[in-house]
Amino acid sequence: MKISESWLRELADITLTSEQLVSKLTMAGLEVDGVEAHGHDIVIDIDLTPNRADCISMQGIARELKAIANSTLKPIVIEPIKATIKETFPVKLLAPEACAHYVGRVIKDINPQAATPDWMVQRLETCGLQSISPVVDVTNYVMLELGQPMHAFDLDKLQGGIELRWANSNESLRLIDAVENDNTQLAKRHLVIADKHAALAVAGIKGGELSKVTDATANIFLESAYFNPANVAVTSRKLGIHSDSAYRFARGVDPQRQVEAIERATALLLEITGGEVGPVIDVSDEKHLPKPATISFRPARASQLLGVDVEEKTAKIILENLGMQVKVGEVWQVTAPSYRFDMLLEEDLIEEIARVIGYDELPAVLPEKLSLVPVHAERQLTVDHLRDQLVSRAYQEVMTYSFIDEVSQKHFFPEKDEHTARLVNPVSSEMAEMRKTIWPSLVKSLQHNLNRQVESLRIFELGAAFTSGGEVSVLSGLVYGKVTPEQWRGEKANADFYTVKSDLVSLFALSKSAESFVFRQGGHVALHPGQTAEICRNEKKIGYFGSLHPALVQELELPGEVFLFELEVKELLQATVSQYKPLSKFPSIRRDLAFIVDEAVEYEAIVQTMKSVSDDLLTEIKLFDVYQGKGIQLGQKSMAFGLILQAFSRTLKEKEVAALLTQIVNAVQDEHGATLRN
Amino acid sequence: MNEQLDNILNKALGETDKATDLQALDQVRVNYLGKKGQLTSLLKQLGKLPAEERPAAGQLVNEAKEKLDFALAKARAALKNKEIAEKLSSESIDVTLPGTGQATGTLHPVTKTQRRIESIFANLGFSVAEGPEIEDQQHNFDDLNIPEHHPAREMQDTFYLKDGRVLRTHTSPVQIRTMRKIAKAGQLPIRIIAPGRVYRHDFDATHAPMFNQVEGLLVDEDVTFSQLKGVINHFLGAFFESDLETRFRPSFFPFTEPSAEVDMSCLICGAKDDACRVCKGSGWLEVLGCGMVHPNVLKNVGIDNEKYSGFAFGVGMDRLAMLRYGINDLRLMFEGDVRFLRQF
Repeated sequence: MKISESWLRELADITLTSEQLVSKLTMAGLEVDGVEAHGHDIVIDIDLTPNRADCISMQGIARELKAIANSTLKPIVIEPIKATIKETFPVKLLAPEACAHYVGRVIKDINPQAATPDWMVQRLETCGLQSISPVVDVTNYVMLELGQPMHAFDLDKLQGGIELRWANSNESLRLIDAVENDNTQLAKRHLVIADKHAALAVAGIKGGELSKVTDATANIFLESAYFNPANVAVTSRKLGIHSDSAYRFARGVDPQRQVEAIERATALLLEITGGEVGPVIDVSDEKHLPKPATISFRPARASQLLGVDVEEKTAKIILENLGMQVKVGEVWQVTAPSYRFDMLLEEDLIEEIARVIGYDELPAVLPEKLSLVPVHAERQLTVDHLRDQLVSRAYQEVMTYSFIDEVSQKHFFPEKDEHTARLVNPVSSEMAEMRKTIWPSLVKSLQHNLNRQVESLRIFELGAAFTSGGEVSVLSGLVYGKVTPEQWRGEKANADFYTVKSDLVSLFALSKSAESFVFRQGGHVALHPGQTAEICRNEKKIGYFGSLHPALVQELELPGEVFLFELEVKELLQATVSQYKPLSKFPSIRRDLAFIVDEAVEYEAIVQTMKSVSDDLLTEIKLFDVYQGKGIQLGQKSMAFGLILQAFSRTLKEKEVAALLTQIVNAVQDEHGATLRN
Repeated sequence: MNEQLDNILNKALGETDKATDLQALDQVRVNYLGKKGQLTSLLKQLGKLPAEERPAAGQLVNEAKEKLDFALAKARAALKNKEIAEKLSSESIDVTLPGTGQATGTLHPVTKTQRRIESIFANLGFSVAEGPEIEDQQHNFDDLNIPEHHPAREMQDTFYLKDGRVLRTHTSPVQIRTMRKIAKAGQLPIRIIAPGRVYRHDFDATHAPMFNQVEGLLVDEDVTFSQLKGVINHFLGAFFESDLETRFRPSFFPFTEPSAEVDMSCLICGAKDDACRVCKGSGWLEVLGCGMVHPNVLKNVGIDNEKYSGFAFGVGMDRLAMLRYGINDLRLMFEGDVRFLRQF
């Protein structure tokens, strides 16, 4: 809201300099956004908080200064204007819950050609309004000055009387400045000002084109009313009309000042346009008029909540300077002035006291009571452990938007799902659905980086996946390109399933129970059917890992293989506390065996077979070669194992070793059709 | 005897000199000092000498043995050193060549910021609470004393789902859930911070439709505004590792009363540069909102407003990260561009 400093200084005796004034306002809660010179005047732009309806006027700000800067007010003298004609116009409040106080006045024989005086034009412009015509200018001026929006009708266009009523559902109205046939549709919850025939204006928000004051208007009907704030707010939003008038009514206009405002407007009009003045028409519905709250207040509570001793004397002065009526007693009864809609509770009064004292005058201390935050259980990893581990494995953490477009979502979850969380009002169609997996966002990040000459990518993100089962916290990763950065020696190998698998295993190892995690052949619509693992922990599926489906690689025009994993975070965090296992003091023996098996035989199956016939003596199995090619039949492969055998409390005898090896070889041969390779 | 001794010794010394490796030296030792060695044999022949000549002769042989021992040791050492020297020169490398193997990644700047904040508040006894990102209107608005017609609930500020649920616009719902749970279990006081992603319908140079917030809450007996000031001052000073100044300005939030907005002194220009791009010359940076928890909010979660009071604050983690690390464009946070991310 823009105010004029020179105008303000007319309304209150302000001893502060311009700079001090700006600072005082800001530090009292009326934040000054900007200060600009405007001719000889200074415009102060105040960013008002929605609770300060009482400050949306010059008078309101002047009033504030009385409380916060002890300025003496120089109130405008408003005398009731004596009627010179008897004419009135009937007003009926047919929806008192939406309008409980309506003040009107007939003024006849005005001179619509009169010119708005320069001083008024100046002030309007300083405060951001244009001069339109004398009648409109006067209503705008009084709105700026006293905070009471007013409206003027061309009396000759009105018939019968004024009704404050709800609109009918098929009613429409041509608003001011709308072209012919561009009527605004009204609805039952919209309050209108109407005459016997039709709606004339949307109450408190905007007037109608057909009843507005023009330069041919000779007789006017002035309106000064109080409208229920909630109603105006809803209607204004529904119709999308955010006028200066709606802004003030929606926050709350003083319900007791309508007459004062109309007298002020009358006086200004008489000066400018002349005219014959009818009596004030004042209609109200007491039952629906808001009454200022009387709040029970305990000064001790202010001291307690603020943490500083507030003297009763100080509290009383502050409240009275703010226009409150204070009845002291064991519990004070404080009545707010009619223009303070935000005074409802004791805490509201305490805030007033605090801000007038000045927040910066209040001490700053640390709470004394200690609190014990329970030490993190060792059996629970934190997401920080997971993040740090991936970072040390050369993954870059990213954070991407939780919303994606429909097409990307379908690539990864083609089934129709009514539970997809779709936004009714997204910022764009690219960001209209809550992602069910983070993969599409990671792939987008890959494309973004590839377009910027990045050659390899290892990224991860921790975030929510919005599945049909609810929000699940997941750890999602993408690997593309070479395993290691380009360097001057060493293998320049591409990342593949197994290099990424070892990163995942390093994550599982944090739990100290890596063996509880199992990789099983699996399927996911977005992954290569021959290169997908379902990851399970203790029989529960916790995620997927594999190579992006070649069809998707093609469709998304990606230049190579992409590896993706996504795991449920909760399932990764369970850990065990390590338990020491004594070491054997006796030497271990290594025997190497190589088997030729069918391609389809899984490594894990062979390992299980070996373990099942070996009891504790087989302490380790090292796979050190997998080979297909020359010397091996097509459709088969060779797997070479280094078996470590050790007894806990003695040296193994050669006989035992041989026997165990025979058992192992036989079992593998029998169960998997393997042959021993020489 | 003496002549014999001299000859043997000289021969031995000569062979020692000529030895080119440790094996050869060892051979010399064996030949002369070993069980069947020549000098050793001489010692054995002492018995043939007259008794009064034996001590002197014996001493001479021992002296010769010592001389040879010494020479052998010296030669051995020299050879070993030569071996090392050769190794040293042939194994010299260019130490400025890059290391090989895997690189490291980095954490996202918001993660780093969040950890820093969690750590500061852990020291004050605050634990971390989390909650869902899709919320119902009750938890996101009603329980927080945000009435039906409040502008914040409008479509232009909040994302809605068809069933009326919203994407949370702040992490305050987490506070509501936590307060309700703790109040029901009678386990006050409450000291929590609630970090997480929040969503607002706004997308331009300085606003993103998704961003990160952390809110804090302390509810106990006798919690005061002064304590709020103290905690905020401590937090900001610790986070920025600076003796910065703060100022608290009265403001308005539906869920706190009294409410305040907090500015901190501009770190970039120290309030000395009128043209500072960060603080626009004002010397102050608006950094967070806070206040005493509104009695209606306490009532909504079942906490006795007479017995307990509380304070709450909310701050943008992206904003803090941007101030701390000098990042000037919020959108960079969410693009996944590794050239940006690996700077942190």
